[in-house]
Amino acid sequence: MILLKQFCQWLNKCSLNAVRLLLASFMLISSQVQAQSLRVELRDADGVPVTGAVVEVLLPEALAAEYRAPMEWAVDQVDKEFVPEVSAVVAGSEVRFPNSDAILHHVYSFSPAKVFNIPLYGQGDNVDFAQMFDNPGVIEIGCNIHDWMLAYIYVGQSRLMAITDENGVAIINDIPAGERSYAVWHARLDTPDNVLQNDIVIPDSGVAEVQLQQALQRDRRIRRAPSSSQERYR
Amino acid sequence: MMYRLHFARLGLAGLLGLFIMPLSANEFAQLKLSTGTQDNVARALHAEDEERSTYVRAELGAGKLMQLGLNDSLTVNASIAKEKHFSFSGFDNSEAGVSLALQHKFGFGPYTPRIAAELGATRQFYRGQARDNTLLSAALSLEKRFNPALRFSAAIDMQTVATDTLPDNPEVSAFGYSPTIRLPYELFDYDSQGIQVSADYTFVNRIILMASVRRTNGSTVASTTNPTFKTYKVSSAFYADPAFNEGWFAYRLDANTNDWSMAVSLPLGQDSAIDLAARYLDIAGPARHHYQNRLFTLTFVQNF
Repeated sequence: MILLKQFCQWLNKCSLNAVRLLLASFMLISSQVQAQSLRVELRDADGVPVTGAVVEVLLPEALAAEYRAPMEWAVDQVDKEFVPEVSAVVAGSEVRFPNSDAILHHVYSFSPAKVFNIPLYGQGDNVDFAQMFDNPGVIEIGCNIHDWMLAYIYVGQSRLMAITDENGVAIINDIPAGERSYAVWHARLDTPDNVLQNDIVIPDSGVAEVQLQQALQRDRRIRRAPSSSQERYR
Repeated sequence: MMYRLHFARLGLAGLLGLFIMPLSANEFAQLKLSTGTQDNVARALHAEDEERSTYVRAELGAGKLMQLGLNDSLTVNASIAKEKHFSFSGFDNSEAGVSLALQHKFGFGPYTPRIAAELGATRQFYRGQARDNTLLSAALSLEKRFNPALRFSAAIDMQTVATDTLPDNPEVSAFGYSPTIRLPYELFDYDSQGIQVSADYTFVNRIILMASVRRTNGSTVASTTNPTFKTYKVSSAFYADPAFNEGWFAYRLDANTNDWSMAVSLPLGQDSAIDLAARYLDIAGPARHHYQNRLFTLTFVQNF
């Protein structure tokens, strides 16, 4: 009787571990590419992968509402640079702008999608302050003290967005199947408003793959490196 | 000697003081290491007196930027420098300086115009007293960046150079060209006004090409081994030049200088660069005295 009980416990433990293993494997696979996915690979005119481009699946408003999941996000300031340089948040999200540098920063945006200004604050200040981004669009943010500091916040209509990695690849999962549109935005994309928009059919299962090649404009970032003739403070 | 101590203390106190100021400020430090050559270090009017000199220079500056408001800032800077000449050790010099700049931006962002008023004081120490001088300057500059590539700036400035009273020098007193002309000894004792226009263009690869033109109305100090009565008559100061060996004399002339310069700056990283610069100075003195000086400089700049 005791032996039987011990055997049952062992079996139970084994099956639990097996289920856990199975679940973990499934989650690992699904985090890579899921069914009903879009994989976009973006390269510049020379074939170099473009990193930091935002790909968004555009949905009809009613459908987009189902995928709207406002989030909390932070764009930090580290060694006089914004980190991350490109963010993608869903409309209605709140973004904080902490300062991890031991110096003052002054964050501002003139972009029509969101005009704001967080004057002069130091390390540890403004940690609880969050800026609401409720309208879709691209917000270019800068620091009024350090002219080269530049970052972009892409505010999308839904969570069906991804940012291209170092290979120029962005993967968006869990897309409702059917005929859809997608937009690709990059700060240097040589297109009107730096946006490229196309239609695509998202299959019931599997991955829709797109390869894009597009020329880039020159970088709008001001050179940070000093020169002997320029002002000393950088 | 008193001046030397005073300014060394001032420079050190300035550097130390900058780091104990309130933390509502942004500190910065910059190191510049350069080597250069100039083909007329004597500022000679006559070809036989022209001397080429190659030098190395190290300059360390540190300061704080204090935001006074959303668009106004005050920058305090202190710097020390040491220059070593290979051929003429008399031109070796040390320098200590402080400056204060008030800047106003007409809005936010990198493309907004900005205006700055700057006051500076620099003390230079050479071998011998005659070339030691204190430079006080005031400048007003306007800067506008049009896009990530193109930036323009213009400035006007005034400078006052002063030196200590120099003792009698037997070589100089022996001159006696004319009993009616007794020139002062203080070579570095004059005022000047300058206007400068500069532009720079940043290429896609972050290399900057810079060009500037400067016009200075003031004085210049030239050296010669063969002072003539004609030179003596048009000079406003005359003394034995301690920068060279015996037999050299220096004299001050009223002069207008056109200074043309071009430079290329190659970024080495986020906070450092190497600059290669060429300058051409065309100096016009009285009685159609003219001389040129060409300078080439290679500078490493590192921000901390």
